[in-house]
Amino acid sequence: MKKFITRILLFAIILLALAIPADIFLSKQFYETTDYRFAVWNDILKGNLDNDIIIMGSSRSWVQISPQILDTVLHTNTYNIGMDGSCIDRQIARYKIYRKYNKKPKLIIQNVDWLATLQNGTHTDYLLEQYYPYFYNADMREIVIPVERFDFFDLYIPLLRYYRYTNMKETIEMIRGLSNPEWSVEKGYKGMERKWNGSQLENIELLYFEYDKSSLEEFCDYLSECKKDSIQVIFVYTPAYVEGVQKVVNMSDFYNLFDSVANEYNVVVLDYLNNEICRDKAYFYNAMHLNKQGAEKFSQILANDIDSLGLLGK
Amino acid sequence: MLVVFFLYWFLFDKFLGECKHKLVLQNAFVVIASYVFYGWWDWRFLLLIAFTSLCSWMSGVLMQKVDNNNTAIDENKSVARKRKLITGANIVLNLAILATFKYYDFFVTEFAKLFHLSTDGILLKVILPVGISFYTFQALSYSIDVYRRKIEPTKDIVAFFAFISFFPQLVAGPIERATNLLPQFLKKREFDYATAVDGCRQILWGLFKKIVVADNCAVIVNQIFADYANMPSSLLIVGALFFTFQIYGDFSGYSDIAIGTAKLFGINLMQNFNMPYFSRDIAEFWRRWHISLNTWFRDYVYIPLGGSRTTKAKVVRNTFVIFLLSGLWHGANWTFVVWGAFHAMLFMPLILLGKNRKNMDVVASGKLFPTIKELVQMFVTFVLVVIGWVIFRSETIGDAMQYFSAMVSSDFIGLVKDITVFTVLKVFFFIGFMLLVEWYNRGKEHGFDINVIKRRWVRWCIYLLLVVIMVFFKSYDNSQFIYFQF
Repeated sequence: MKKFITRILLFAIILLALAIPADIFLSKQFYETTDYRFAVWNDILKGNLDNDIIIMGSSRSWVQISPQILDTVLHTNTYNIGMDGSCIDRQIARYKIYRKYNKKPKLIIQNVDWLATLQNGTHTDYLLEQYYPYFYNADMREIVIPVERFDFFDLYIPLLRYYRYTNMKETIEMIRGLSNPEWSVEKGYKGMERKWNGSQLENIELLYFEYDKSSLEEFCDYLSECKKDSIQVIFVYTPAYVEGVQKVVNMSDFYNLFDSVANEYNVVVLDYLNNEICRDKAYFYNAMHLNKQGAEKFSQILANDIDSLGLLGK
Repeated sequence: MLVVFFLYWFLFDKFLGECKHKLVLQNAFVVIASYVFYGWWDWRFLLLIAFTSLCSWMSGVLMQKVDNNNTAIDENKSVARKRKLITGANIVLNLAILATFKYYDFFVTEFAKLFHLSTDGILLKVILPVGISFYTFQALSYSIDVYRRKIEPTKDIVAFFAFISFFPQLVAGPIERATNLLPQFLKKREFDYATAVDGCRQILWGLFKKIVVADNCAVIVNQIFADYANMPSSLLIVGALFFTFQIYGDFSGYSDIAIGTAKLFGINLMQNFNMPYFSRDIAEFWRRWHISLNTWFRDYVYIPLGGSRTTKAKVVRNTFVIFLLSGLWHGANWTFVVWGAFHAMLFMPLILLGKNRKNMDVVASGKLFPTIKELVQMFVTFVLVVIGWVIFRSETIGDAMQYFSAMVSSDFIGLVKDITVFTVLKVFFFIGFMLLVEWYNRGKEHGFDINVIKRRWVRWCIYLLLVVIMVFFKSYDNSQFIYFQF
């Protein structure tokens, strides 16, 4: 028995000894890419960002608010850390890392919608690969990775995550596609050059979005932290196509809720849900996302409003 | 698995020392581990397996009680009658459970179709408990063997429950015989280094066959069978070939994992596959494919019906009976029944000419290559088996017929989205590698017996290579074992 266990352990050690350099090698392939899944993490972790404004939220921040336009209008430095498919727990985890590695922003433009009242938690595999290369970073292990569905084995067995949630073949294909301009971002923003593809909208039944109390509490804690750090937050209700909004029966409840949160934390709200953009399909590629043309138009409006209201210097 | 392994050997073997209840505790641990494993699917299934185990154990105890109350056993007709009654009751009960869960809806639907009746409100629509066909047959084998006095009934309920539920082979076999497995739970198990290492090798090989061969075949097979009407005939042939290797890699892979795992626990399970695709005729194929099921049917159905020591007509009938039952065992679908009948028909010429036991040895024994004659025999047998698998894999008999028809009527070559030449060649390479390794080891207990390689570092490099191949070529689309559904 002793001999058997010794040999098995030895075999496991050899496997690990091969897996660790392979893991490091694979992870390094992601550190210089412009691919949206990794580029923002890379920028954040390099710690060179010195932005007055950061844009936070889900894909509705990522593809809808152009930092370049804000920079032009406001003569400032903006970065979009919006994350595709992210609820509030993912967004806040990324924010914490941003704060730990980079200079404090003056202003956070927080896109708020029902996703701010939900948690990705352990529910989803969506875009889990964005974390793979950063498992060697202690802060990522402590702050970000626990938010996701990774477990003990993912944390301590090299290569396993590359194999378990995608597979090696897909990982290699992902590395090959890292330079694909279609998915590259600049300052975290990706303008989607797409036309309206929301034709299935009429087939969607009426939706009722649930909200999670603990997520809302997490959101409020984050607002308190910002207040404590003297970082101004503004809520932006970014545009959504009007017929899409009508499909959600309790959409107004969410915004009433955010209005009351904004009151409580003394946050300015910029509501664009009734903006004329929301009535023109030409600006959207689906009911909840502006295309590049729409995003640029909206970013211009947003920048002007921030400027005219003097929110940056407030 | 690791936790179970260490508790099994250290807590219940070493730590308990000379404790007189050590064996019972170790068996109880096997039962608990097996029930946790099985309950993972659905805890309700546990009630069923416990009930089956209890009834079969009780049948043995009752038969022993009948024997103990009568001294002149052989002369006492009432004893034989009582024993028959007990066994019969247990068989009926177990088969009734199996029939209810597995076949009731199928037969009711078919009956209703035949007489244009409605099935509203009479279908059960229950989930098929995982592995029910496997453990039911295992339980039946005990009851029948006790009745036949091939094995002493056990009073040790814990050992009996461990025999029925032993987790490595619980959900997809091998279907063990009480005569082989039960006595192993009644005596102290010794850890044997060589057996454990061999078990690890077998597990590794089983994983390779499942992860690399079966799952990669499955990706292509599923696409081809889902849209066979629009596939070129070359791909339909590829689909049939790949399913042939998918089902082999999947099922024999699982068996290897199960047998290898059992070895780690000091338990020897029976061989379930013996390189069936190197068979020279159908009879040989059936001696090498799913051995535990086929010998089960042979011992408990074919021989009681008269076996081959009766008139030719009865032999033909008996052969058809076991093949049809074997087909039906796989599931409630006519495709399985027709698949069984197809193999029975292939068997007929051998039975009628008395050549069904011609190829009993290993092909090309002691030689590296087969003779031309052996090669032709293997090829013909293989093609017939492939035809059978198309019937087996199809959703309906109509689909199978249309698949065959499309094989000869559509264009030989055509472009199909998502199935590239490279993907197909890659899978062929894996299949070729598997066949090569198994050909080399064809006379051995399993396909990855590489003890002949004397240098340890070479063996270890091979193990590492297999692991690397599994990591890099794992398919993500299929992970469930096919035979779990049976």
